[in-house]
Amino acid sequence: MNAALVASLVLLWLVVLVLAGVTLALARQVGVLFERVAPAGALVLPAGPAVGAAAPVLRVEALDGTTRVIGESRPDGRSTLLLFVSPSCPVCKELLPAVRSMRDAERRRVEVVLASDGVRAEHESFVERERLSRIPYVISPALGVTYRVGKLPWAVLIDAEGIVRAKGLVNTREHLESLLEAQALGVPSIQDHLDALERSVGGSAA
Amino acid sequence: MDPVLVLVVRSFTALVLLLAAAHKLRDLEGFRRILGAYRLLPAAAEPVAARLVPALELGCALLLLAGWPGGGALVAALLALYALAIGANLLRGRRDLDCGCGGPGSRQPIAGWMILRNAVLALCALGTVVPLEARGWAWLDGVTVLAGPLALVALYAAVERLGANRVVARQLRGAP
Repeated sequence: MNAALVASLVLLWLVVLVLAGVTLALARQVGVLFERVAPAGALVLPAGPAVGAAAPVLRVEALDGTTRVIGESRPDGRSTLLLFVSPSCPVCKELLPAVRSMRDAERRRVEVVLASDGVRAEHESFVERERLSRIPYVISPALGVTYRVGKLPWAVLIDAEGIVRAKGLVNTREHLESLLEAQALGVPSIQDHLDALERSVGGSAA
Repeated sequence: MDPVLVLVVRSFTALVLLLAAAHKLRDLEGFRRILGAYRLLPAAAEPVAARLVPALELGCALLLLAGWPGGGALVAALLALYALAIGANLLRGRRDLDCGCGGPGSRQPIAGWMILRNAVLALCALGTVVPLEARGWAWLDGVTVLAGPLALVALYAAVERLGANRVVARQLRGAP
């Protein structure tokens, strides 16, 4: 019995030592990650309505036959995330799981609206294939032209007052979230935020 | 109290002090600047104090390891002094002040939890004054005395590091 206790205690001490070392190493690595891997924001191109400007008010037709007005102020206080996609764009397809989870997680803050143009039947089969029926889907060539969408998937975040708060090319979930983050921080883009941060840190060090 | 427990806690405190002294001695000039930023000493006293503090830490750690009963009280007094310096600056509203706790590389602003941390360390050091229970030594006690302080020091460093990480993360998120 005594020998068993001794053996197990020695083993436990070894394990505790290794675990404490591992915890320390992990804490250091997390620190390095925070310092080196700054968040990546959506790529902002200058074309289209600028961030901070009023969004053009457009009446568009949704896939389910209803009519929606994009860009006017919303009484429910939510923002509109306009996401331009196309059934033929592979990156859009990869982004859809992120869009679905974001729609659920940010439901109280943001309404996600998918936007596209082209042949109606293609969109209907796209919605069915990708199980998008719960997300509003509007078809309007005018919308893409107004926002000067050149690359897909392109996202525009319009706040409840109808002001464009963030926009950009969103290739990943991180890009998509950066738009909401930019709105929450009150900056045009995450890149602007990081630049400002770097300037302030550099300034205090000097 | 069991002598092994007291020895483990005492050695842990001594190791923390040794490490603190080591990183201050490696960058005396940097420590003088940190000390100056605390704005508690006249400028003329800074170079002397910058050498005196690591020397005190080193001396206290050795006394503690040697088991001199007064060592614990000395260490507790030193830690209380640090806590006072941090508390005074927190009361002045200076939350951007580099603590100087984590060595030259880490920039970690002072915070309220550091006062609590110092109190815990001081309690560990005061373990020297507790009357010891007389008992025989087994070789297993040797394992405990070797591994215990090392594990505690690693965990202490991890907690410090996580505190510093939190500051960086908060900066990235844009809070002041």
